[in-house]
Order: sequence, then C-alpha cells, then structure tokens
Amino acid sequence: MGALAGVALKRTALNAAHRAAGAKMVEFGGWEMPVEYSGITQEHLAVRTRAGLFDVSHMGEIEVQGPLALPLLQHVTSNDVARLKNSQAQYSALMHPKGSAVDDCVVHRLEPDHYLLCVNASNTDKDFDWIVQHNSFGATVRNVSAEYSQLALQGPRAAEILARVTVPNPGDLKYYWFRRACVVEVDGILARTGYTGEDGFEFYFHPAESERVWNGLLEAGKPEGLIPAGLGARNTLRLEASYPLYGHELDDNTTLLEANLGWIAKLEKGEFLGRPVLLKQREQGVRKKLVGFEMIERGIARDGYPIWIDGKVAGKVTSGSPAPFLKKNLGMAYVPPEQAEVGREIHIEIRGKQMAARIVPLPFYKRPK
Amino acid sequence: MYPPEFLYTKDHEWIRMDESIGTIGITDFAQKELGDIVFVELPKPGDHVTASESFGTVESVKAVSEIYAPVSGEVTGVNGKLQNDPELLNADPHGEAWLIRVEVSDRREIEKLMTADEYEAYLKKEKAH
Repeated sequence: MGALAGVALKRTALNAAHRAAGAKMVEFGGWEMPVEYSGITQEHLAVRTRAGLFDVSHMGEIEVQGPLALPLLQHVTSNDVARLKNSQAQYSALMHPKGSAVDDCVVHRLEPDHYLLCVNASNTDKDFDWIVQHNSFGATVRNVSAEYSQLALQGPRAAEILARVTVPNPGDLKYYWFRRACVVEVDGILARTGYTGEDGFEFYFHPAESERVWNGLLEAGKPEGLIPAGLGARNTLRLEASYPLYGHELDDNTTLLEANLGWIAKLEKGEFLGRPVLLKQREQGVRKKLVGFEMIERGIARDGYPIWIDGKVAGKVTSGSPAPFLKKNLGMAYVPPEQAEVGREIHIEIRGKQMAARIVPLPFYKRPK
Repeated sequence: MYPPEFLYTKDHEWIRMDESIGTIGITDFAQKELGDIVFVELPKPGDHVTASESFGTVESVKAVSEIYAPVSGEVTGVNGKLQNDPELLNADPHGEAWLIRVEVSDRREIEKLMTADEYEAYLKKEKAH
C-alpha cells in the first residue's frame, strides 16, 4: 500500500504543494499524482455542486506545425480537423489501422498550420512516436509536454471563480473553444474543456508558474467552496459522465464504433487510419458494444469483473465504481451487440457471486442546462 | 492513537478480548488507506472464521479490501449498523464501527498478534518503505 519507492516516477511541478495539502499520492501512468485530498466523495460532490481544482500536468502535449500539419492530422486522427477554426478544439482519436484508438485526445487549432494535441499521460511517448512514424507529410512534430503545466478548474461555479483572476473575462468563452489568457498574472492557453461532465476550464501554462496559479485559484475560489480534487474524483466524475478512459473503454482491440465514439469518426472527411474498418463495421455491424449498467443487488462492480448474460460470460467490466453524486453503483462494459439493449438484466460476478444489474442508457449523468 | 488493550495484525485488523469473546475491527491506518468507505460485507452469526483467512470485505469508492481474521472461531455477533452506515468505519474504526464478535476457539493464536506499541513500530517501518 502506497509503496512508491524503487520506481523513478515523474512528478508535476505541484508535487510539494499536493503533499503539503495532505494529498494521498499514487502512481498513475508513470507519474506520482494526488489521488485524493479531503476524500473522493467530498471532492466529487464539490465539482458537481461548486468547483474543484485538478492538477492534470501529467497530460501530454504534442505540437504539429507546418503547411502539411493539417493533412497529417487528417490522416492520423478520426475527427475532421478541417472543420476547426482558429481557437477551437475538438475531441478526437489518434487512429490505428484496425479502427481502434491509439489514444483519445483533444486537438486545438492555434493557426491553420499550427495545432496542439492534448493526450493521455501514459500514452504520450507512444502517441508522439506514432504521429512521427506516420508523418510522410513532413510536418514538424514536437513533444512539448515538459513545457506545460495543466490545471483543470471544473464545476458550476468555475466561470465565476476564474473571472476574478483572469483577463480577459472567460465568461464568454464557448464550450470547446480556447484563447490566450492571463490567469493569476500568468499567460497561457485557457480552454473551456474538461473531463468531469461539468462546465469548466483547462489552463496550459509554463510549469515554473505552477504554484502561483494553483494557490491563486484556490484562494480566489474560497468563497464558493473550491477545493483541490485528485485523480480518484476525476475517475468517478468521468464515469458518471460516461467518458471513456484509455486502457479501460479504449484499447487496440476496440473500434470507435464499438466504443460509442462514432460521432468523432468522420468517415466522410476522406482517408484516415482505420477508416476502411469503420466503414465495413458501419455496413456489417460491430462485434461488441459498450453499455452502461447499474447494480440492482447490493454490490459494487469493479474493473475486470466478469459479466454474465443468459448463463454465459458475455464480457467484463471496463470501469466500475460507486457513483458519489448519483448514489448508485455503476459500471461500463462491452457485451455482444445483440444483448446490449437498455433494460436487459445482466449479472456481474462479484467475488464468485452473480449479482443482478440492469443495462441503462448512457450517459449516466448529464449536467442541467 | 492505537488502544493499548487491543491486539493487532499485519493486515491492519484489531481484536479486543473479553473473556473468550473477541471483538474485531480494522485499524485507523486501514480506514485512512482505503478512503471513503461505502460498503461492508460481513459473515453471519454462526459462521466460522479462520485465522489469517479473509472473512469479509470493505469497499471504499476506489478499492476493495479483504478483511482477515486475527483468530479462528465462531461468529457470535455482527455489527448491523455498518450495512446502512458504512462510513462509520471512517469516523470511529476503533469504537462504534467494530465488525464482528467471535468465540475464540484457540487462545494460542492470540499470542501471535502485535501489541499497540509493536503495531505502531510496524506502521513506521511500512511507511519508511
């Protein structure tokens, strides 16, 4: 438990600040990260009802630049990069020829020939190598992860808190748009994005300024009850919001269509890696389908637990946890498409016992407009 | 912090002996490691538990943890409060949130357990790792 010694883990610039705040630190994707401060439940509820501040500096950033940046990104990602305007971002997937995601990512267009990709921490090197390997276009690709700290301010009060310490006022920034902004007197890129299912912002800036921004935001948000939140709450929040997590809902053997990510697979945009497989699946159907379920019987489904349907093992839980806001025990799983209908009763094997659950519509949680 | 009248296991359970009846719980260290506890699964009165074997589970938001019996014996009582109020384990792990009582079948097993001082020394060593 908690044994972190022996492995050289990477640390964000806020490592000391997290420890001073009493965070429990864990290994995540090669990084030593805060999993919780005051408790996952409290942090989760703060984000749903007020605001929470996350250090997500472990996330990777990759820059793609040059006259052929756009064709390279059109080739390696699934969403239509040509639809982006300057200062606009899109959720996308870095593609494998099998139609699966090498990673999921957010593509930001800085200029028509300049893009910034935000990718998963543990995949950063793999993603960078993958893009470079497919760069027959001659675009400039750089792993710039070390040049950025990233903080996520999330929750219904996030805009109000941020406005106090940000120039220009972030209130009119639209969802999945970004701009240059100055937060607590630090310049950076401010995007209205997040991974919690709430309104919120993500701020990319120079790591040397990390403590200034972190402390300044926490101070500014005190009246609203802003608290620091760790990876534990980040995971339960994204599960309630039904966002996939690479390594759980997404891997080499799962296509975008199977993962309910058809909406980011723009098959009409032209050629991209994995497109033929997706086209074929669109005609002939998928091999499995991602569903959400809630437990009926008392029990908590956890990652990897077997799913039973009609007396047979039909899949396994990809993410399972108690949901602190919805107060249900929820999970996601891949099941055969013909057994994936909402309302079907399934069973989750929990420590050798089959416990009843029901397939329910996704997302589990959608924030009130 | 750790009551001197309890004995402790390396898996972070405690036992308080009262004649032949042992009351068993998890330590403050265990509840802190787990975080917000949301679910407790315990045996029924009349069930038999075996020293060093799992007799139940405690689940927090993020993890499942097995609970191991410090001693062998028959379960004589189960703390029913924890079914509806599992977070009691975070609030009062050494008191109100005891887990089960057992009729201890072999008192020699008790001698293998740690005193409060030994347990605290053990925790220090664990943390240093």
